[in-house]
Amino acid sequence: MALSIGDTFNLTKEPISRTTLALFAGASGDHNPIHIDIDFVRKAGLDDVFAHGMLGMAYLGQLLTNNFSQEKIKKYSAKFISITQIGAKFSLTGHIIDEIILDGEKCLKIEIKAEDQNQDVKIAGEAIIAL
Amino acid sequence: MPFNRNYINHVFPEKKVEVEKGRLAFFSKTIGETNPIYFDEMAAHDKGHPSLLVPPTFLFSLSIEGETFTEKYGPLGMDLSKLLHGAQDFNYYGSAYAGDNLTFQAKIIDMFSKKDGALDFLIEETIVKNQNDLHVATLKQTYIMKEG
Repeated sequence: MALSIGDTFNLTKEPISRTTLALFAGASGDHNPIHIDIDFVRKAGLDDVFAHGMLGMAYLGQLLTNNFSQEKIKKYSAKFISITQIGAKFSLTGHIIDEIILDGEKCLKIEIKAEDQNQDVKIAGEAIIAL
Repeated sequence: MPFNRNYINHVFPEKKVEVEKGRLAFFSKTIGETNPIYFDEMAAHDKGHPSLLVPPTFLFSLSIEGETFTEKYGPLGMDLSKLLHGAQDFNYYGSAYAGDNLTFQAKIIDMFSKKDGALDFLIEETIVKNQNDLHVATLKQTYIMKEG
């Protein structure tokens, strides 16, 4: 069944652990110590490491490719609203809000968001997907 | 200290990055990807792909390959302990696969401050082309430094 305006789709991820962040640092190439080194973080005046924004955006990318062929994705953007703590369990949602024409092609406009277990929206974004 | 405004319109040296199959599969597994076209080459072939498909955000990882943030942005005044990745945009024009040799051309397109200088913004745009000079994607990074 093809998705259309008004439809929503979801994905739930495992809680983010320190191991997740260590592996993601290596896998993503983002070695910023703020995500993996608690000594560095404390010197910077913070309590603990926090997740890479791009980890959540990668999860939201999976939400999109679970529901659409990746070649159809024309635009994908995200704003990192607030810091994602260790232990956060993401619920990801896509909501098809409009049908638009992009470069002469009919596309779906999709609102996406990543919320933690306290319903705090950590990442909000948008995708444009060709039909 | 805000970002050094002299770097607005600064063009970084072009960077070539080979998309390594093992690294791509490791990335996919790390994010909990379950679709095998992102980590099993046979499955990718079965779906008509020449090799593992580069997932939507992996281009960002490739764009930061081989240099630390401090090496790349230190001269611009970036302080890692105050840095936030504020937003990320991708515009896609084609697919990339394991084994591709991609070229990344990054440029600082804007710097500005908000909230009376409490937040300082750096906007970078990166054009990605493949070994056949086909435009694969354009990335836009928004980095924010918190002052005080």
